[in-house]
Amino acid sequence: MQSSTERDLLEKSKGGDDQAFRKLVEAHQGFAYAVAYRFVGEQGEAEDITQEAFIKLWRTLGSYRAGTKLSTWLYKIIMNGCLDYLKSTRRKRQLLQVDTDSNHLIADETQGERNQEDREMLAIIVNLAQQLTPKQQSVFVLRDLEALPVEEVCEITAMDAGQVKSNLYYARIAIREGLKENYREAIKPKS
Amino acid sequence: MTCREVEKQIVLFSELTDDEKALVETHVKECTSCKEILARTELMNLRVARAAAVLPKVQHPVKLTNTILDGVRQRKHYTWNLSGLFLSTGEPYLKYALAIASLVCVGFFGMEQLDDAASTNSAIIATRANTRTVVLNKGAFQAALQKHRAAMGPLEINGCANPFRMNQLDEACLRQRLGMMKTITM
Repeated sequence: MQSSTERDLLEKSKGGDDQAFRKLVEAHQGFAYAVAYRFVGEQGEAEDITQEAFIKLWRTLGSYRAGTKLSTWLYKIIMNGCLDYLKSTRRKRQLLQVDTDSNHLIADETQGERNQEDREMLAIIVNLAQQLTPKQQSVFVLRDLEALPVEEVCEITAMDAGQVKSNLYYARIAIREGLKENYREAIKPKS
Repeated sequence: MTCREVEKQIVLFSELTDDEKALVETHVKECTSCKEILARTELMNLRVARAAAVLPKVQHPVKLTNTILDGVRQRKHYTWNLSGLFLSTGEPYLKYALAIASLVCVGFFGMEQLDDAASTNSAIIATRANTRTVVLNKGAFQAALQKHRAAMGPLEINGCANPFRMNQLDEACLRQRLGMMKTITM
């Protein structure tokens, strides 16, 4: 549900109020950056995509429909920006060296040494996700990394629930196999 | 339910209804291979969940905000044109109205242009019928131009060019403009 403050800021931004738009940017840039990073796995690129996403948001404010969640709209813009970027750089054919040492990846502070492991895990998973098809990657990032409900994933990706589940199935299989390759752990079934 | 079906259900476990989940759990209790798949999938889910809990954070948020707003300001400057007006307008139907108005204008002025062109062509044809022209080949034309350019300037000569044939000069026009010119030989 969209807050009245957010709606108010959107309306003011549509009317050309720069300060209102600044507040929108300040409120959402962190989330936008996180989404972009989970797609592209690079700090600089994620920042560039975030910038472009907000510029596009500003340009399309006129077509914004009241009632649509701003976050859903932003997800859509960011996802398309990321997929365009990944397509244009033909990164899907290369194994990426995802930045794992950066301080910008913040894990649970209470877990101490698990933090680094989790950061590496994110880097590996982002890398594996980039080997998927764009549809599979989108669905996987939105559903499993962003933890969005299926209905919202459908709205963002313009797929129906069946397509989302089908793409999610293949994505999860591929990620599971990729992780198995990375870890090669002996898995014991629960008794 | 077959193991193949259950395997698919296990991968999509979080998307299942409670009844579907119960069916899978019943099958898994009795099937070793499916139990193994479930264990592997749960481990993957755990890893993905831990990775998802890592929050990529902007290192310099103020800098990023300013970069974004600078970018918007620049685009604002460059897109202050008709399409910019379409996009920045709050009325979604206004752009269609403006598009229709543009088409009407193009149609109206296009017809006017056609009328102008037709009347101009008629005037030129009528003028041509009343004047004698000197036909020059390319070499003679260039020679004539060079001969008189120094004295009168190129514009004087060019003004006498026949709009339909670039190697023809209007003799009356040339006589009037150049004065000193008596004949032009081919």
